[in-house]
Amino acid sequence: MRTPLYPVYADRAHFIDFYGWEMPVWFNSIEREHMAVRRNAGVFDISHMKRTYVRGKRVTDYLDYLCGARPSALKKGRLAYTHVLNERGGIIDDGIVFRLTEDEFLFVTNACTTQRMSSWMAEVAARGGFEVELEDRGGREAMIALQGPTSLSVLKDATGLDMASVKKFECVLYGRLLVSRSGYTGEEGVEIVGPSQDVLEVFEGLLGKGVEPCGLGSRDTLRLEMGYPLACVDFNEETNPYEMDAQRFLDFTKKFIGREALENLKPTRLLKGVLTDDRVVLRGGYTVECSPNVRTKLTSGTLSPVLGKGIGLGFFPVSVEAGSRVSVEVRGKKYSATVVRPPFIKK
Amino acid sequence: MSAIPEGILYSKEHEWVRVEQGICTVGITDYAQSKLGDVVVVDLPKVGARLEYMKPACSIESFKAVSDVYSPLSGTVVEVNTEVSMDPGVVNRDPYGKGWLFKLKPERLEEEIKLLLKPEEYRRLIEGLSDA
Repeated sequence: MRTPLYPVYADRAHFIDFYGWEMPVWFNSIEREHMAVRRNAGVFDISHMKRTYVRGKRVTDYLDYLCGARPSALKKGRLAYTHVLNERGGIIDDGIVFRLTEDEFLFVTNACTTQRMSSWMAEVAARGGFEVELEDRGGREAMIALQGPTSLSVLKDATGLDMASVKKFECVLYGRLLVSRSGYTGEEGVEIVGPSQDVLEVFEGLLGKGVEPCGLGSRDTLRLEMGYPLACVDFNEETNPYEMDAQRFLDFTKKFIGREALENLKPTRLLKGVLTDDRVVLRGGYTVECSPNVRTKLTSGTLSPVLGKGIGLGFFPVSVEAGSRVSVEVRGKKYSATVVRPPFIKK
Repeated sequence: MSAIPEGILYSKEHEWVRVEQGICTVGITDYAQSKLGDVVVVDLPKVGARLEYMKPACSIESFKAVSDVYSPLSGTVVEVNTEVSMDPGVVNRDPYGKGWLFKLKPERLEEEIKLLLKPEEYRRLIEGLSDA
């Protein structure tokens, strides 16, 4: 599959297959795109993410039951990060829920779980008799993320829209575009959803202002530097929110799927980071030795472009605390590293 | 379009070799570096190591993958380019020049050199790859 923005970059990007999507992995260089986002601004095509419009009279009851967070508490024009759990408390997905009106929400979730979320959202709606309408506009809509310290000024320059007075995790309508102060890079920035042609014009306008086009390669290195976990890579339905130190995103004052299971669960492992002493690329699957009998495997990793050192995420026994010295095996060689509580870089 | 300079030979695994006064300089091709993306770590062979024809000599890492570099000739490593360890990006910027990886003293140059590709042959090889 290709996103509606594919024609813009068809002949200038390197591509990868990302859960069935032909997506740019980099345009010029992952490092260059990463540093552009840390220092100036970069723009990503994130149209592959699943966008579900949810509406109906009982939409808030439905979403409060579906999500760990409490979407009903959101004011119009606000958004929240949330998890969707199964009955066992395992994480089906994470995503951002936007309140558009009193009875309409937008739920943006991961590409890797598109099928699972489609069927789960429908199943939960039917089972609870919520009578909500679930609409996925597919290729008629596109989504981009503009990220980096100069994002707001370059957005104003390219489109006339001034987002400076809009707070983080708030959104506004600008013509047919939904623009939110959000992102997954740790930087200032906005995400823009709208009809494909409108989003395409903004995308081209931003490139015309010198914004760096960025691929999924730098999106991954940027989120890893912040220690943000990635669905289907760092966590899946066998992971519960406690293991990700994500209790703060759960609202136990209401009923939601997975809550009962969580009340009887205690985590035995926690998602933590490792930072190597030397310049080495860490990758998912690498073994970390905490002590002669305690080992774990990284769920993801990379070389931090900012630090010039290896960084990775993995689940550690709760007894392994931040600051512990460990070694990571990289193709037969052991590299010294420290267990850290992400983020790896200060923002 | 990838650069394929004249005056050097190529392997099917995208290494290049320059033979000068009995010493062979080896690196990866422009095509190889463009497919790898940013080279971020280069693990060079040791001086004195014996390398065999088309067996792994060292590895190159980009953000996305680790790739073996195959030795296009059998021989002994006589020098390695320590500059690429400190600045791996030079492999991307100047793959046929400052981005060379190692030099070796070949053992079976006469027979193995016949197995390497001339520039025109290498051009045809990468044109035949779907994403060239």
